[in-house]
Amino acid sequence: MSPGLPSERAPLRREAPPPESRLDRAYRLYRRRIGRCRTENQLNRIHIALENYMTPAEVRHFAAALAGDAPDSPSRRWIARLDGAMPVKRARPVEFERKAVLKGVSLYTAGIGSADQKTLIIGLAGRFLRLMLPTPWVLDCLNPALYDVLLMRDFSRLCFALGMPGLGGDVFEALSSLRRHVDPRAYRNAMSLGTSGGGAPAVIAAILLDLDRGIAISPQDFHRDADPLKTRSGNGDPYAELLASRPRRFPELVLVCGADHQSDAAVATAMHGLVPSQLWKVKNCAQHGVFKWHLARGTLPALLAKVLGQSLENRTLVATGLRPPTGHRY
Amino acid sequence: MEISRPRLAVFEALQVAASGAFNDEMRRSFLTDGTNLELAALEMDSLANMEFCISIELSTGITLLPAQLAEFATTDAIERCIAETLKEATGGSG
Repeated sequence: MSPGLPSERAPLRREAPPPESRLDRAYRLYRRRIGRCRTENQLNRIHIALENYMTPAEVRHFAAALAGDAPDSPSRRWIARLDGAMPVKRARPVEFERKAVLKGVSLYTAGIGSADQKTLIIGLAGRFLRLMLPTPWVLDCLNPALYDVLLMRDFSRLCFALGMPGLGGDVFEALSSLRRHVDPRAYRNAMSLGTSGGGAPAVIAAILLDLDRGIAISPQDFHRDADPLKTRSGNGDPYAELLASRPRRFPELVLVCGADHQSDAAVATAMHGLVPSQLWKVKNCAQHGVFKWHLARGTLPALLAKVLGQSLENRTLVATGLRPPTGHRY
Repeated sequence: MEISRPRLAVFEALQVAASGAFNDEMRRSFLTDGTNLELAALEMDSLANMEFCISIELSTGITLLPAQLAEFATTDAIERCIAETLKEATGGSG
């Protein structure tokens, strides 16, 4: 008998089942929730919420697990679209995982590398609680060994004007308090990236938190969307004052909008007039969803690299016409 | 002016789904002047259409599907549909 093998007479020991993985648990919960849905809208609600939160690894896991479902089932159609439209479609040696920081704040990070080797992106989601696209599509563009993404979602859908639970009662207090949970200066460099209603808050975050860069994609008019803040505070106009401030280390600000989207171009141009920034109008784009426009053309990773000013896959800069972010250490 | 339940449901759904296009002026006139809006003018994409229908269902219990929105085309048509369905559900007693 070979050493290490059990004797034929020895009673068979039943192996304990392998511990259920986080991915399996998520999938089991999904099946349970979907099983309770009675209308298409209820299904859509679950799918939209998942798209807002999932990682690329979760999408691939769900796609494999749902492969046995009928091709025309709602779940299969949903995951086929979500998985099929991933912009890079590359499994990584170490994948992003999601960690809840606070209600409305998720950290997407991979267990590889230290902060000083990575870029921190503070994402400020728009009204639909995502960065214009399903979150896994954005994360799929980024090398998890080089990026952490802290994604903030404002459930009041008021441009973060009323703050965030656990962080503060207005956008300024909430963003300043972020330092209690994440230290941007511990990273190789740090940037804010906001879309739509999160655009102006991304500019605020970049200035307030002394970030290297702030990027606003199709930013909305903060005064229009954040009226409750003005009526609540009665303390002048802190937003205008912040934009007019010129701290010694001022972040690079990039404002992006569709060139042919009249109202977005007007808002971005007005913001460009208020604060030192680069204004990039995407030619032939009449959509508010600039990320979606680029995704459809296969150019989302290129756009992201351009606005971040650096490669998404390695530690090289991308020519943007801007000076390298001050925090870069190459 | 009293705002009917169907109109309020459409208003809330537009606030969620129509984003920047449903601006202050439109919001005011929708509530106070009974303005009829064309959905095509509200720049709602497929996600916005889904959010709109989810909001209507949550506030009224009535299921409208995203695919139906193009047929309705206007907020008045949606409001009528909700009002009629609610009326039927309460046995026509209004």
